[in-house]
Amino acid sequence: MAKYTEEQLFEAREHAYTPKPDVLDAFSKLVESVREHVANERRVKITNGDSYIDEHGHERSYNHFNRRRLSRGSGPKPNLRKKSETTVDEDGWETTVKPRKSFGGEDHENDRANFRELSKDTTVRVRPNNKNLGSSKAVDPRDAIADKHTNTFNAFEALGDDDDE
Amino acid sequence: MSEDLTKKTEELTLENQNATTVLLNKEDFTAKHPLNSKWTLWYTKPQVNKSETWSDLLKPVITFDTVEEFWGIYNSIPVANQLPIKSDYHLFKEGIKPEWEDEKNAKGGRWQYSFVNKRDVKPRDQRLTIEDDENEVNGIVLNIRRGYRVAIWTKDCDSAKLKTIGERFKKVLKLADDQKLEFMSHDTFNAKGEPQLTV
Repeated sequence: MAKYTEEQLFEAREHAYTPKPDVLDAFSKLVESVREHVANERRVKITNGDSYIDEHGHERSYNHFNRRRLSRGSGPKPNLRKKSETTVDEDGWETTVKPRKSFGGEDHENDRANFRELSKDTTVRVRPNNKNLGSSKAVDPRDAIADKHTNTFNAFEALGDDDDE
Repeated sequence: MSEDLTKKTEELTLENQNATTVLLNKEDFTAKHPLNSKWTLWYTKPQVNKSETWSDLLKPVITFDTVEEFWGIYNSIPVANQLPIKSDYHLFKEGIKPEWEDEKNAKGGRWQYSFVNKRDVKPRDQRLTIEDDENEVNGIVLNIRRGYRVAIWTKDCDSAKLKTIGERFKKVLKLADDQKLEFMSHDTFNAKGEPQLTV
């Protein structure tokens, strides 16, 4: 039984001999063709068959263009609550006034009138929320009832109605 | 391409059958170093077409019987990281198919280790060999997956002989103590059982 040391085995490397170069060449070509096939399949899977070359010469998919914008960023929400106003009179007394939440009630009738006067000539442009207009979702039949009666509640009217008292 | 390769391997014969070897002339350092057995390199091609069966994918590439030829083949074939995923290299003694159904494998098993990350594999040129005085080893297998899986296939499950092979294999792979090499008979492996031995 032939037995060699590790040194002998590694020394023999210098006399490496390829018994059938054409077979090994055909084998290497086969592996290369499979590699290309697998890489193509992977590319098609990632790019959905469509891609472009970016400014650095790299092939890129269009996937990032299909990503929807987040409705809100990841940062903290701004505090929009009105702070209470403090006034100091001549005697040094501080009076804290709670922030006004609305123009409701009889106390603010003038404010309401001023606001209406100011906004009378302002053109308000309403943009539809067309986020879901192109949706491929099946139509919900409950949404299709166009002339459905709805009760609406107008807070201003309700507050200004004397019969309510 | 695959047919071309099959045709070429069918015609396969070893050249220089009567070449000088170191066993005949110990003074001749350019003589070939014969191996105790002939070995065949097999390759499993990843399936690229659903009509391809296992027998279409598993093909013998080349057979050799000297150390010099081993190095020549080693230098010529694609290295592991150039193989497409789901490829396998099998190096088996001539006449043994790299399948557990082969009668010479049927009663045996495998020492196996999976490198989850390909970068965990240590440099390949290591001055370590596995002695097989008992003629216990049938072949070695390398599976190319997301990581690498390497295995030594043995002809039986004699734990006394297996332990030595497993410990040596662990050194060759340069595994740490907590990285366990596992042995499973082919029957256990196919039944997804627990390993019978670990080192």
